[in-house]
Amino acid sequence: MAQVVSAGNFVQTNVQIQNIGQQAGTFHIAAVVVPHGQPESAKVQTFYNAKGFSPTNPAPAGADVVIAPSSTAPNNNITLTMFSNMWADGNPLKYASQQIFDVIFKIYVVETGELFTFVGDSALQHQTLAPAQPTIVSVNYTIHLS
Amino acid sequence: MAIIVRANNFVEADVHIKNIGQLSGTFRVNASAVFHGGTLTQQMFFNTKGYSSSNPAPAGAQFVTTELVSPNSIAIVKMYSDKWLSIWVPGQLFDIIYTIKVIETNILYKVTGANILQFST
Repeated sequence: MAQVVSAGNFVQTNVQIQNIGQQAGTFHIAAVVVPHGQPESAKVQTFYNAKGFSPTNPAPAGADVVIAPSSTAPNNNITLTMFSNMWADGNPLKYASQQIFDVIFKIYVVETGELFTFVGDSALQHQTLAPAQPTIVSVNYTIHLS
Repeated sequence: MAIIVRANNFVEADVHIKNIGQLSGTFRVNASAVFHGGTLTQQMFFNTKGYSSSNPAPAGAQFVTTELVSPNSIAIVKMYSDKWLSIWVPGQLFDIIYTIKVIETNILYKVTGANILQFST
């Protein structure tokens, strides 16, 4: 069941990572949001190491990577917290009503240089947009004699 | 201040309709003139000027449909009354009732312009 997100919201994700290797490792994680089924290059939102980034408060370089504070021992878990930039830049019309998004996580192991990719399928859903509604803003009347 | 209409005149209404929803929509507009405060149609509005008892409007001419209107955009709809009759009491005030149907949702919206027209001999 996708989490519904409204324009202007910030999505927090707490990612629990387990080291299933046999040696300790240090993990760096990055995450982006893409329309469902799209590749990373289609990213529409990015997760950062702090909350509050938006068009008026752009993220600094490097903020799109969360670095584990220390190495993780084999079989141990670590939880990293990330925050999306402002959803839809605060504009409800930026995405289609109820559009579904995946979250792509990329985890880099510092010691080996290896990169692991995970896809959170259909993790997020854009808000439901209100249907069309008319309002009359003005009427000009002209009288024709015939 | 009501607009004065005389017998045999045609009234043109240029209606500016804004889509205040969040999705695009197509609006079908219908308008009629009624006695002030009433609901019974006295004169109709059509998509073309010139209809009268001797030149009756064809079926469907009482509707004007917009193109797809995107959110926050304004569509302008032109409508024309049929030839104004001469049977009204001088000074008679008319409201205009607009009924707008959203094709995509089938929802009807009704807007009344009060005391828009006044008959004069």
